[in-house]
Amino acid sequence: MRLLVIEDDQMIGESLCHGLRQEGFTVDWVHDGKAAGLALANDVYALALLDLGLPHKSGLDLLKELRQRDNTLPVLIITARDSVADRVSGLNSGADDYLVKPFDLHELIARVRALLRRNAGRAQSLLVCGTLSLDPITHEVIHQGNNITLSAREFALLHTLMEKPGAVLSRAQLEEKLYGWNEEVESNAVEVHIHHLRKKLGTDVIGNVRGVGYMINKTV
Amino acid sequence: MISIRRRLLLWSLPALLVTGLLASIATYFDAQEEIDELSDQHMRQIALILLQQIPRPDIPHTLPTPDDTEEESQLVTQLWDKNGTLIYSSLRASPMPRYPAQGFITENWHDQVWRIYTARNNTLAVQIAQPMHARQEITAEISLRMLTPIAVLIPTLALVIWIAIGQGLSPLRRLTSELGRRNALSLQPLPVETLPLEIKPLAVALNDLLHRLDDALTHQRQFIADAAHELRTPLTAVNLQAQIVERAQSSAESAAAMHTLKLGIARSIHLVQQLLTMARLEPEAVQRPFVELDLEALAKQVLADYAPLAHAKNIDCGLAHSEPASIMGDTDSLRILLGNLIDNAIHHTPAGGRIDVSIHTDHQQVLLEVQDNGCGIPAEERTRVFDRFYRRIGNNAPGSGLGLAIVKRIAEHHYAEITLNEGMDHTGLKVTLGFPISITQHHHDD
Repeated sequence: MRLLVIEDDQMIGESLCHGLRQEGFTVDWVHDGKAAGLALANDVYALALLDLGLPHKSGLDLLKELRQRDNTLPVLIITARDSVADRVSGLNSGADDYLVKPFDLHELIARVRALLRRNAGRAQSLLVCGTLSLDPITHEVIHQGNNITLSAREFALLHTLMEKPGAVLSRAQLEEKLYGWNEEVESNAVEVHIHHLRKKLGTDVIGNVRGVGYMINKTV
Repeated sequence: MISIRRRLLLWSLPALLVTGLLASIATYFDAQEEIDELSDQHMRQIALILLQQIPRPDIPHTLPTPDDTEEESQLVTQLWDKNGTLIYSSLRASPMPRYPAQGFITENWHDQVWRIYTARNNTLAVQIAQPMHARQEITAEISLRMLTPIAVLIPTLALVIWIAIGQGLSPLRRLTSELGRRNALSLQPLPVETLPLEIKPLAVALNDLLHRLDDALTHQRQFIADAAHELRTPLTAVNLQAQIVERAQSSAESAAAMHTLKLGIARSIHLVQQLLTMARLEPEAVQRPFVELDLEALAKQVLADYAPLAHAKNIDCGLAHSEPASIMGDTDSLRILLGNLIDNAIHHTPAGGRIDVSIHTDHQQVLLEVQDNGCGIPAEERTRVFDRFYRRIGNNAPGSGLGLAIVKRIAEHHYAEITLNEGMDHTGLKVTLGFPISITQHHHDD
């Protein structure tokens, strides 16, 4: 899950990124409205955390432009503006949720998960595909009744694939979702992680469409 | 308690009484002359009528019986025949002597002053006499009657004044109840159009005060709102940092998180301190009196205070040029001003940079300059940086956004002109404060 943090305050931005990465999210951080506009055009994010008081372009303008382009990216506003009028105008401009500073990291993460779950059209956070289940909150993966231990990156890869079982994701798409801007991506990193996953889960769990990409076999 | 009503009555009623008395005294003197004239005429007429009407003096019984001495005029009428025998006297018991003169005379008789008129023809002599005090009594009576309407007027007027003042003061009572309903949130002006001329200035002055109060309160509320808003940011950071410390999985991660947490706390403390400074500098706050102070000594003190901070960043920070300069001012707030300028310069100057403080004087101003060779402020932003909570784009230094607002406020308080220019090496910032000598002296004289 790759998230975009749009926040101009150095300390808050650092802490947010740190906290979200601890939870296994891939996080990119932009400091102002212009950079945020460019980043959002990439369309690789699962969710955006948006501060409203931004230099160059206000958060609300950014949000309105995003929605005018018919982009349904879940957007969580994080701001110090706490009046009812501000909340209403934020939500009316197309935000999916509104969190007032100072907020709790746990609550922020819970809301991020809730938005991601809702966006995927699921009622519960547990992802299940046949005998394979993945809990994004506890980071537990159970396959055929066995608890499987995965590295953070392997978990993130499996999580991405299990969001839409049966859908084929290319290596480039997977890389985009798994790696932030400042992370070095080895050319065969995705293949290596897939290889490890197959070793731990069995080869039939992750299918490969040659020359196209990878998917979770729906019939596992 | 002073009552306008009571005071007005207390003044107007005695005035009325005195006026009445004076009027009646004046009437007394006026009337005296008239009464004299009238009485003389009256006496002469009686005498002449008697002389004509009594052709036969041997029939004295036709004359009225002498019982009318009790009447007001107290006229004494006496008749003598041609032989000089008294044939009639209205004072039967002890008739007045006959005075030989003709016409009017004034004589003393029986310890009284009498006005006497004597006339005669060939058969009769008539003497009409009147005691002067009788005339005075008539005059006095007339004068006293003048007082009657005034005696009636006084209670009537008192009542009218009482009611009129009551009515006249009713707008004041309305104003009082209007003000009584007010609280700190309803500071809209009082209606003044319908007020009487006498009360209007009071209401206008009250409105002026209400307006200033409203301004001050709005200002305070805005300040509190701004402050609360600004406090959210560092508190959010601290809150997040604390939770990251909690969740740290290794001691190294925990130590790093603890370090950022401490930075966040330091930043919050700095903001709170700046907010308090700002609040103390509000125009409504109590101002300390200005004293004569040595700007050079103050600059040296502040430079010494900030030396460790500058040293830590390897910045050469010192006094470049100075001359003895004494200005009128508040030492504490000027120390904050200079401290903020030097602190700002240290934050925005890269390691190995230079900060110069200098003091010049000319005949009009004492100039205090702080310049650095740091990143500077673009010309188009130089006016905005004085706004409260304004933070420059891309400025990641953990400032409060209040430093220059505080500087501006203190400068204004000292009537000092503040200008921003390019600093050393065509980069950096030069802040110049011009303290006008004449005005600071003048302020002291106040």
